Amino acid sequence: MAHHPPQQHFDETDPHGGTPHTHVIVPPITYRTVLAFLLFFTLLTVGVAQAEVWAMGYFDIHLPWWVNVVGAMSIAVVKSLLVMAFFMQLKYDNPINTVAMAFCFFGVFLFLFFTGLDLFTRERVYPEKNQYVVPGGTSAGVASANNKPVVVAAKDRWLEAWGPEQFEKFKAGLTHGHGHGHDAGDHGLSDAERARPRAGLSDALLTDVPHDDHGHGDGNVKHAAPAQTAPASGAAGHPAPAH
Amino acid sequence: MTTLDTHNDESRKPLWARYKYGHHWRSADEEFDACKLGFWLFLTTEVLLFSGIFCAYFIFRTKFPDAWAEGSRLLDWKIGCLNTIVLLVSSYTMAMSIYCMQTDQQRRARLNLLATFIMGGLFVVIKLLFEYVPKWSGWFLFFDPALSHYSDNIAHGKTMLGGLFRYVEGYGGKRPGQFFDYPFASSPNVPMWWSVYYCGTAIHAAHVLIGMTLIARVWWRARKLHYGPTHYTMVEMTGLYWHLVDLVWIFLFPLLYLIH
Amino acid sequence: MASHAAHHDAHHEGSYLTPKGGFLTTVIDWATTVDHKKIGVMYLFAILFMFFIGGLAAIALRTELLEPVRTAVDGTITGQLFAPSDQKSITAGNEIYNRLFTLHGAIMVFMVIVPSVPASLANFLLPILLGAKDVAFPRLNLLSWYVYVVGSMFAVGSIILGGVDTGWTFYTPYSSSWTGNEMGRTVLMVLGAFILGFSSILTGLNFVVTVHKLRAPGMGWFDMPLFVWSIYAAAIIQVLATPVIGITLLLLAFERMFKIGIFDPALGGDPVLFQHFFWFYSHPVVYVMILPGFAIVSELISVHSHKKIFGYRAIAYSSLGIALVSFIVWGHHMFASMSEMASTVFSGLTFLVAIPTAVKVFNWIMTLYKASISLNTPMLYGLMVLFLFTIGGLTGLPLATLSTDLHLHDSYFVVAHFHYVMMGGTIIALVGGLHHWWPKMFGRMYNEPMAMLCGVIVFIGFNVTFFTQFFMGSQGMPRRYASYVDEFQVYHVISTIGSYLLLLGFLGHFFVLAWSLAAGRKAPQNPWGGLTLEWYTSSPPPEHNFHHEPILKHGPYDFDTTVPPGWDPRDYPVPADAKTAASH
Repeated sequence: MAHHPPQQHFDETDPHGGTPHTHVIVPPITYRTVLAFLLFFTLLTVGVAQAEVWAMGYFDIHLPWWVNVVGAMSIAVVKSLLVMAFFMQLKYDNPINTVAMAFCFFGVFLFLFFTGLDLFTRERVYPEKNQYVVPGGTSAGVASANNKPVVVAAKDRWLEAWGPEQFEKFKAGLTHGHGHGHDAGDHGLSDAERARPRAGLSDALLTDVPHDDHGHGDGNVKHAAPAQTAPASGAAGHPAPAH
Repeated sequence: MTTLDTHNDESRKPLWARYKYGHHWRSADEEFDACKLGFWLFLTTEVLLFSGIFCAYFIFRTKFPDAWAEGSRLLDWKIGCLNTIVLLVSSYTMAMSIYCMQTDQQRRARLNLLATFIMGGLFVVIKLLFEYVPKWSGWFLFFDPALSHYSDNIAHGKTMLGGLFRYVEGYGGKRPGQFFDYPFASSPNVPMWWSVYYCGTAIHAAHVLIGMTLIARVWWRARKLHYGPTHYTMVEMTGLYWHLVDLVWIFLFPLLYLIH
Repeated sequence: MASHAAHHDAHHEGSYLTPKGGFLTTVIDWATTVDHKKIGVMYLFAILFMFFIGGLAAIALRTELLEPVRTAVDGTITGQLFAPSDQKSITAGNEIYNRLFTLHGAIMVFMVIVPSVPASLANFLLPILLGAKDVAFPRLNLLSWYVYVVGSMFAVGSIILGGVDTGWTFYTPYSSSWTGNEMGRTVLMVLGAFILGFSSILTGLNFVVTVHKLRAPGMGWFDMPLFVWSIYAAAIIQVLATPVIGITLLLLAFERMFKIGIFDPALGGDPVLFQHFFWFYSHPVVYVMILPGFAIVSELISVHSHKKIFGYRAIAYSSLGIALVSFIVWGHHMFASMSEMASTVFSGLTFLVAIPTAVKVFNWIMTLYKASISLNTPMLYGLMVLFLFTIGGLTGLPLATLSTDLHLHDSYFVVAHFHYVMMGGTIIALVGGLHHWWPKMFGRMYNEPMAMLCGVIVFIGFNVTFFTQFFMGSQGMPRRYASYVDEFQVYHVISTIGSYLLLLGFLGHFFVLAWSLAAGRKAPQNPWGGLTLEWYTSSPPPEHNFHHEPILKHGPYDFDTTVPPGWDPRDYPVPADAKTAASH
């Protein structure tokens, strides 16, 4: 194998590549100074936290919650920067190492940010959705122009167009064996639907949307448990109180 | 030089001076720099591993601030502070051991490595004895500073090992998640706090133990003069790992112990 | 594996494949090697083997789906493929089906596609393309191989013990719920995936450092082949994203074993949090899958069209761009579980990732424009990737759009989309790359007409299988269902026939390549007329990759100014109108 003398090559990100250099020897006094600072900051952060507790107990001063958080976190960040720069020698190293770590922290930030974006905005857009739970759902969150649950609004529209007698007639025709599971005589069900028990199907999917009972005489209709009708009607009329 | 002279010279050199860098590298410095870059990339993976715990902490803290306040008050910040100081000093001794390697002070280097190892062990022991064991069982070491808070609850006569351990009535049971059986919690979500606490500190303690294993290995090989001014890559890598362990604790400590 | 007839080329040393002694010596040599080429070959065979296992599971699934639910002539239900007709057995049959698709998914994702190109082809080629003698950390390379083996054994062990039925995505609360005797298997599988993650991290780490530190003298960042750029981008993602699946699976195992409650609503946890954790890794990982596929396509297209690649810097930067954007779009897997605000944000961000991808596709097409294309098997596969991946990418757009995704979520549309991108992108690119570099890796030429025929069968089979699934999905056929309503049966039958064709095509490829190892023509140094550094060494390469230290004199795609080294125009003619430098 032929031996070549070390050649200059052009690597913008690697200033030490190829050309020999001596390793950086950090003097111990630097390490000792950094340690002193680190211990100082530790005592400082503990002191601040304890001072808050003491102030609350002795003087009954309630500092806003974010004071301690911001203070402790910023001190932690300073300590970690000291450790990374001096003990881990990032200050004396090839900058690519710092770039790698910066990307890493940015990635952690993205992770926390977007996860928080989801977890903390669950209640945000449709407050009505979070007030109650009805098995099978009620589409209450999708408000129509009258601010009614969508199923109720559809029924009212139908009633307006065709009248209550037609409503009863059509309903009887659609739903014999009403309110219970499927009988063998059900038309329109394929083998697959008959193949296994319908576990998990709630009765509520087969009944009316629970709403304030205005005396719609839907005779053999099973209503959902009464405990849930009250909040349902409450939600239909009023937006939920602020979170 | 004749062949004979070279041969004698070579065998009288310590192991670290005889080190041959990998044949695919152009110089030993290049190998060292590459190893450093590679290890920093590995450290980024460790940070991202812990980021899951930090994310869980962040999410659940915001959802259950009262549980977090209550749980955090049940932790003893003095023990946490002690652990922090132990780890910071161990980071210092680790950095010093690298300095000693760089300046060929082999004995001092080994002493520093040993000190780091002992302090790492001290960290784990303090955590176990003063934090985990009392919280699971209610049994405290007799000199545990937290005992002063519970003088009324110390069951009389209920000691173990000739007074080495004392039992505090009602203290224990602060276990994670489903196993939580501490009767005096007021917030219903406190089990979640304990889960995050245990996951975070346990995974961190596992990393401390891994770091201690690395230090032990390096210390053992240093006895045979494997490492020196021109070859101390493994010591450097172990140092970086140990500093990372310290780094994670620097963040865990205020989050768990100080922020109420 | 290594027992080829030892052939010594004209130079004094044999190739890396030359056995060093008897059978036992050779086995030990391969088991303890730190040579990236041998490790790459071992990975290749392991990956192909796992691909076969996962593929068999897929064939079983598709066969089961031939019938919606089996009925006898008199109308009684006779049950499904895997079980007789009583209700209890139908439930058991569904269980088996669930385990099978979990097996298919877990094996394909974790054991085949993620390591497929990086660990096998890139392991072999990256150092050679850079002019180096090995990767940065050869022993770490071997460690990553053994970690892969151990992780696979955990996963296979879990399967042998009866399998896991959660789906490869392990969604909570099903996967974390406390059902006693299932726990062992799930924890095993989860730990297996955790270990496999480490293999991926070590490979990625190795590649990043290799690209930074081991380039040949004179090779700057923009003198590297585009293969290296895409592998580098994929390696960055591997390093940054994989640890998060590590902590996710670890927390899932803790949840399962210690019931810590992070994902359990009863204790205040959030099952969707698991999905966030999971997809923060699993979305970037699909770019780990496809970027190496792009890497291969860049090479295939430029070499076989004998033309300088169009827009080198654009392709290089777009690889990095894809890697960057991949980290901010993971929520599009969870539109049905997330808040409206987060869904909207993620939907918008997801559209961004189409931009660098489209840049690449347009550049490849422009490379083809006015080029003199040799339509051989690798080129056919390169073109197949363009076609199939474009379909996959375009069908990703209705899935990125929040409003349509809510209907298409968890339907066969999604299944078809990801098979088009993952299989039509990565696996097809892998097969193409395999054919392109087979002569280099093993020193043998394969039977071109037969390989071409298999490629055509694979193409037809692939489209028959998966294109029909788009129609099924948009009409409402849900995924992961063992039985379905009758209306979909036609589609399922067509899809299954396509899958049998696919099997035929792949088996054909296997035989063609195996035959080439046994009796193929010896390969010349540069059969295709490529210009990157691997064609500067013999086929197969020697142990130290190069006989003489490579000195760069031209760029990797300078077909118009440089004669390809070691290329014999009589052996492999280039089309007459190709704008390549004349050989003599």
